[in-house]
Amino acid sequence: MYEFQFKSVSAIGYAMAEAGSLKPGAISPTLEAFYWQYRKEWETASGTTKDAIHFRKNVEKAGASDLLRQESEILKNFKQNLDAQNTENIRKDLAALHDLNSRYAALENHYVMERLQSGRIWVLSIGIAGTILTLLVGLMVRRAIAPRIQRLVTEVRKFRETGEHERIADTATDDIAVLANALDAGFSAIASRNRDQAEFLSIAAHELKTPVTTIHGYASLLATQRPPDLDVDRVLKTIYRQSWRLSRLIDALFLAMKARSRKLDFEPRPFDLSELVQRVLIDMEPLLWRKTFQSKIDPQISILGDEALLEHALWTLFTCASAYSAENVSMQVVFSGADHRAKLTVTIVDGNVSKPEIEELFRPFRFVEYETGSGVRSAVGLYLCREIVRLHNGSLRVEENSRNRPEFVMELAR
Amino acid sequence: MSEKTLRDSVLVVDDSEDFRELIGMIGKLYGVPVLEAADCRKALNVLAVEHSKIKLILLDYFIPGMEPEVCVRAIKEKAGPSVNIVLVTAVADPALRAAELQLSRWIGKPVEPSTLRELMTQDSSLRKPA
Repeated sequence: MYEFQFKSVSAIGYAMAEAGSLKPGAISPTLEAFYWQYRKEWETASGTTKDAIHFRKNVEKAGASDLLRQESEILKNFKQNLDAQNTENIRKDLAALHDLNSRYAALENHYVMERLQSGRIWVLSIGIAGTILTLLVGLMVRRAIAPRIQRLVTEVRKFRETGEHERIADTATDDIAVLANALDAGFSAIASRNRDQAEFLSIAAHELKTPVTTIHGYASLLATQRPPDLDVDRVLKTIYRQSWRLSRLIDALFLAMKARSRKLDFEPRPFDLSELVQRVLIDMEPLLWRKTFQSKIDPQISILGDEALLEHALWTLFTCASAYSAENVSMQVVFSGADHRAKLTVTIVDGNVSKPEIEELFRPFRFVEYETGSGVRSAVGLYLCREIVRLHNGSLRVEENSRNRPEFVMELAR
Repeated sequence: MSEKTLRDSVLVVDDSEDFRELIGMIGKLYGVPVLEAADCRKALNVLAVEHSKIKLILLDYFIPGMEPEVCVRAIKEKAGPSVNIVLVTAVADPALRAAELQLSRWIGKPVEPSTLRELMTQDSSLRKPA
């Protein structure tokens, strides 16, 4: 129901009350004012307000144009009766106008109910259509991505169970492809690390068995056979040498595992690093095969650090440097101290090895092979060495200032 | 004319001097002559000269200077079918490596001297020279 209809019905009520108290032949300015206000604001038949025009169309559409004619007729009579001061007819006209407006209200109410019903049907239809559309889109999306997601899940399960990685290779450009590529990269890295680890364990087992074979063989001969012309001193020296080698290798593996889990024991105290570098070089010299060190070591450079760990790091570093150096040339070792830093440089001469190849040694689970004169041996790579240097707030890197002369550069805080 | 030669020597091919020496001692103890080679080329040289005396070759897997497959192929060619070749190695999977090299016999290190003794003292036979 339009607002103007409430107002007109209300105004008709007041007009009827006024007409009820009007004396025959009397003039009523109130009813006159009512008439003009009705014509201007509330008339439907020829009203010019937006609501009146809209409602008139509804009335015509409902086939009730008769009501419009009746309204015009009533108003015409009402005006004539006002002018003629015919009180009785004025009352009748107002009653007829009230009745007409009530029918208008009923008609509009019918329309409102129809619109509500229509609105409900629309809302319901849109809801159903939206739900169906969402389901269809969902099904399409599912059909498009479900197999790809399923493949990712299968690959993850397969990798978890077997440790083997088969490239997923999703060539699309969406987020699933990004995820698939990230999984590819991650699994490849894990698989590569696993292979490195397996190879490391295999080499470690080989390197452990080699001295054990000699120790066990000689010890068994001594314990069971003891041939009369057996050179016992020589046998004992061999056992001692191989057991020392075994012990160093076990230490290296133990420390490498601790470094891998970031659990290296670090017990710093002040000590003379120059003296340690010199001592390791002297201890190593007899073990080198057709290789020598040419060293320049500044004396009395002390640092606060773990001497045992650094000794291990130096052994590993010099072993790796000797593994890559050419035979019959001197590896250059320079140790100096300046600006609160101790710097050790080990230059590989004519090694025919590139900087990236050497940097591979810094990855976990790497071994390096070297010639001892009595066979090729393997030593753990530089991962442990770098971790020990890091513990000392230092750095270990490879530099290549000139061709075929890569350098290990170790810097430690003094 | 048929001339018989005693084929009683063992050739140990291993880069570990200590292991070669151990085999030498066991050989001395049980009267088996032992020839030594630190790498494959030296082994081929020994075979070229001493082939008729060698009954057994104890071969390590990792030999300096030559890939294991190449080394074994060359040794097999030189040694012929009358010489047994046994892989004696510290690798983690000796059976697999022996199969790769098409060797039917293998021993994993560390090895008992008694096992070496048995190996070195059997298969001794008089064979006609090639």
